[in-house]
Amino acid sequence: MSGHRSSNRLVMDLLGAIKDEGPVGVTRLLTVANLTHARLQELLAMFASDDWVQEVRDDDRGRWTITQRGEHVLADLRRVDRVMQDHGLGI
Amino acid sequence: MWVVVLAHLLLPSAVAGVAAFGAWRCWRLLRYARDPRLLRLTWFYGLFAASLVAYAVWTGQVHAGGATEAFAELHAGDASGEHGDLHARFGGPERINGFLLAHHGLMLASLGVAVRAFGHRRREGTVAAAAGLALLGPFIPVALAVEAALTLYLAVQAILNHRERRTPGALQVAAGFFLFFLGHLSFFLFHDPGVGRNPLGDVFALVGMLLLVQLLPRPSA
Repeated sequence: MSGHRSSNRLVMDLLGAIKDEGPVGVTRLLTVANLTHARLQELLAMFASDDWVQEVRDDDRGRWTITQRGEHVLADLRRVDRVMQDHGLGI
Repeated sequence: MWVVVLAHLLLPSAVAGVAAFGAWRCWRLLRYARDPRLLRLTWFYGLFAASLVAYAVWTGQVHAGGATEAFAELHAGDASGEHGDLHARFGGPERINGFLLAHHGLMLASLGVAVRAFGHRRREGTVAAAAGLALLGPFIPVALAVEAALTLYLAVQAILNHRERRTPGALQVAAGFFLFFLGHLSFFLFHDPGVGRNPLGDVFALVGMLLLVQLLPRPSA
C-alpha cells in the first residue's frame, strides 16, 4: 500500500488531537496535521459546519473543541480503520 | 420441485440483499471522509449485489417456463417426477443470455476490485488475464473456474492477514472469505449446465457474506 495519508486518516488525526488536547489552537493543530494554514482552516470550517467541532474565542485567539457529534464521528472512523485493518487493508 | 426452484432463486437473492446492505453501509461510512479502502469495499459489495440481481432475473426467466409446465402437469395429475426431473427439465445446454453474461461479468468485476484492494501489489494485469481466460474456453465453466480462483486468492490473503494480526475481526474476515471460496468452488465443481448455481454453494456464500458485512460498523453520528 502507498504511504499516502488517506482523507480518513487526516480527519481522524485532527479530530483525535482536538479531542485529546482541546481546547487547542491552530498552531498546535498545524504540527499534528502537517498541513498548510489555509488547508487546515478549510478543514476546520468544514468540521464546524458539520457540527463536529466548535471554536471558542478567548483574547482574540481561536481555540477548538470537539462536540459530542464529533466524538461519535471520531469513534466511527476509528472503528472503520480497525475493520479495514482486519480486512488486511492498511493505511 | 418448487422448493428446489425457490432455493435457486431465494438463496442468491438473499446473498444479493446482504451484499447490497454491505454496500449501503460502506457508502454511509464514506460520508465522514473519503477513504479509498472503504470506497473499494463499496464497489466490491455493490457489483457483487448487482451480479446476483442479474442472476436472479436469469433464474426467474429460465425456470419460469419449466415451473409453469410442472405446475400444469401437477394439476393434470401427472406429477410423477421428483427432484431428478429438475435436471431433465432445465438441464442440457448452457442457457446463455444477456442476464447470465451480465452476472458473470459483474461477478468478475467485483472480485477484480476485491483482489485489487486486498492484494499487497497491483494485480490489474493478473485479474485482466484471469478474466480474459473466460473468453478462451466454454465461457460459463471457465468463468466459474476463474471466480473460484479469485476467491481462493482472497481467502489466502485474509488467512495470511489473520496470522499477522490475530484479532477476532481478522479471523471473522478470514472465515468469511474462506466460506466465500467454498461457495464458488461448489459452483464450479457441481456446475450443471442450464440449471444454475448449486444451492449448497449459495449457503456457503450467504454465511460468508453475512460474516463480512456483520463486521462493518454502524454509523452512530
